[in-house]
Amino acid sequence: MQGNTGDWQTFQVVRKKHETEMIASFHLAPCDGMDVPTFRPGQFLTVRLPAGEGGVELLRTYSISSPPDERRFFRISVKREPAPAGLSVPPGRVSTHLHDHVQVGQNLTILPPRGDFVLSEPSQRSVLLLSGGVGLTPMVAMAHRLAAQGTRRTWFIHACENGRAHAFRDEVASLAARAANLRTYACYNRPDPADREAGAFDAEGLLTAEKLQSFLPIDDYECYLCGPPGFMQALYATLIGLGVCEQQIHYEFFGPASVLKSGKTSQGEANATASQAAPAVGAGAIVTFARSGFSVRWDERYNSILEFAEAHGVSPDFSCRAGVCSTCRCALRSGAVTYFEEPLAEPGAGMALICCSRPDGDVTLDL
Amino acid sequence: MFLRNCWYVAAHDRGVGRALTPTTILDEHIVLFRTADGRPVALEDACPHRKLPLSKGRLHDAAVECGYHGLAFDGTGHCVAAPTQGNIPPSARVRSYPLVERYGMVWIWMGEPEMADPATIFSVPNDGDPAWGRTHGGVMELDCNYLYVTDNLLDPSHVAWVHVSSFAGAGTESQPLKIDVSDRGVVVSRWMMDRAPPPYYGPMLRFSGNCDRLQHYEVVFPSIGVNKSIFTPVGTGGSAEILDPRAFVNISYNFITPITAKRSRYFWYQHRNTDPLNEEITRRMDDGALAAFLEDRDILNAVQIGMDEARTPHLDLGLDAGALRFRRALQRLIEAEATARRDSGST
Ligand SMILES: Cc1cc2nc3c(=O)[nH]c(=O)nc-3n(C[C@H](O)[C@H](O)[C@H](O)COP(=O)(O)OP(=O)(O)OC[C@H]3O[C@@H](n4cnc5c(N)ncnc54)[C@H](O)[C@@H]3O)c2cc1C
Ligand code: FES
Ligand code: FES
Ligand SMILES: [Fe+2]
Repeated sequence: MQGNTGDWQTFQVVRKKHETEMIASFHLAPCDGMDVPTFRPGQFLTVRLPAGEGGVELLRTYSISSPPDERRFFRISVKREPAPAGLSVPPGRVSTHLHDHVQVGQNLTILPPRGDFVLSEPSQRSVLLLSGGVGLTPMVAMAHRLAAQGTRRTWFIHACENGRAHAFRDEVASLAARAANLRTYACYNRPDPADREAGAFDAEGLLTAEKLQSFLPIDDYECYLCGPPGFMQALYATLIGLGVCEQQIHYEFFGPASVLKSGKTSQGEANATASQAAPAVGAGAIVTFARSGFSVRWDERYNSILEFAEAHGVSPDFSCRAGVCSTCRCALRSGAVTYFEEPLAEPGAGMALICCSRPDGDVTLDL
Repeated sequence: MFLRNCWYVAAHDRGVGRALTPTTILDEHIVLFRTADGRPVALEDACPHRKLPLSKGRLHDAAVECGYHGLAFDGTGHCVAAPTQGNIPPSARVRSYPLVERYGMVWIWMGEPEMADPATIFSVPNDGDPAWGRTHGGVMELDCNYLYVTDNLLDPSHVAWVHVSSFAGAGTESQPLKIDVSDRGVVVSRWMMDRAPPPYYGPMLRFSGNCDRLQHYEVVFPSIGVNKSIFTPVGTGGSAEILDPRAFVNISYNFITPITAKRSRYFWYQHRNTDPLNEEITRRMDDGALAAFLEDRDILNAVQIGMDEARTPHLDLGLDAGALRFRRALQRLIEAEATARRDSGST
């Protein structure tokens, strides 16, 4: 066994289904016929594509959209990322590969569920699920759990282009038909004539504070927010304006985290579904795992380089995770780190303790 | 290995009387007794003639007489009688250790006598306040290095496995611990908001319903554990300084005195801000503390053997963060003291 193979597991694609023109679901089952590991609604899987022609391995994360009680397979639902209009750049690599080349019967290498954008379970507060575009995938898993429990008043509010882009409409509608605690609200930016005929949506245009106020009863909500950065910034400000306190707003970015609170627009807005591999959005150091042979942009959501490495399938040695045992000591081939917890013993020149540090600019680690 | 220029608890004051009582502190053999007028005395427990322990001799009004040839020493360690030859050799003297009685205990200064300043004795807030109740406390010996005891006093997590019967449950808390290192020692603490009061403390609370709760585990140099619990009505927690009048405070003081590198003496008592005269509560708290400390002793004695005989390296876990930071800081003080001693030319 190599030191850093992590918990990578091989799963088989047992079903592929087009949810919309742009979004395809993949059902992934363990190759050994066992149940899938349990997960908390909102968590994601990490998918690894082996190094191809360019020689770089690609890692992408996809939220689990299947019901948490479904133990036979995980479902991920992937939006095809074309090149942004007007740019002559290649289309999204992993999403395009999954759409065009991954078929039923093939295997995918994944990491078990991770992430802490999860439904807070012991709470009995009312819930607002607010999604834009493909950002609804974690909400679908949460809606299944909330409908199955049947106790917490829940609104599933979704914004998308039109009915053709509205994934899981029937699945969520049938949940709402059975669960009295779950209600839905759809806001289409540019509905088709067919949508109008079918009465398929509740509101038209962008989702605004006035629209939310028009139907939401006053309540003490716990909010879950996921969608393109522009959508998230607007909705975050709207929720704060409606008196929801910051601690009750949970959110997930499908790309590098951008600034939510300052009101400053981050550059990420231009590229609504920017991925980790997309060009720099805000400041972000490049972390290179030299022995594993890949580089990833540092993500502020991770607390330490150790956590970040683990999220990308590298498994460095550790014991205390508190800066006191030196087990996680590793050579810094280049760059520097800053400590948020002072190491008990100096790691020595050219070395770093990665459980209690973050990159200070680009770094290359001997991992 | 030990910090010397500091005060340790040598004994409960009820443990020192008109009898010669041998003890060992920081590897030094000492004899404790009281003079006829009640002052406690600590002398080196070895006669300068043939090193017979003075504790094997006889205690007179103001002097200890050696049990072999009768050299006698007063409370300052000076020889006051040499019955076999009449004149007293000037070099016939034993070391005398500064002592102070405070908080019902006899404190001893193990370092350079001229540096002994009673103002630097660990201070107990609210001592003597008639609104506070104090337990009788106790003393016991452990067969382990004193730093395994300070490790234990900075580690709330062991409660869930070691004190299953006494305070069960507290180790499953997910609220993270805060670690503060200062020049007084290390504090590992957390506030837990809106919790049901634990059954052990419930009967002592002057309010009903849930509580905000502080767990404060502190070790002060050289090796004094202060374990403070606060239970205050929901919404009033968050600060140990500004307390709601209904808050219940209990502080457990744990004074660890190293005997040798592998043996330690443990003195303790508890201090609470309620029911000062309630003997029933005092007895219950004394019983609870003793039961818990016996559970710790059983584990720590076995840890010393396990570590001595280890054939493979041991691990440090996240739960050790406070303890290891304490060890490091104390080590620095001990090294600084040794350097100062070398520089000043004394031994
Ligand atoms: C926690 C989390 C959960 C997620 N869940 C989901 C999910 O459930 N469903 C989902 O579909 N996605 C999800 N994502 C997003 C997903 O991980 C990928 O980021 C997404 O699929 C795009 O990856 P890609 O490899 O296809 O695109 P990349 O190859 O990374 O490219 C991204 C975009 O940049 C463009 N581009 C390429 N080169 C350039 C250039 N030189 N200049 C400018 N633009 C360029 C591409 O055309 C594309 O539009 C999630 C992300 C996170 C972080
Ligand atoms: S894991 Fe112990 S110092 Fe990093
Ligand atoms: S878990 Fe701590 S000694 Fe075994
Ligand atoms: Fe204990």
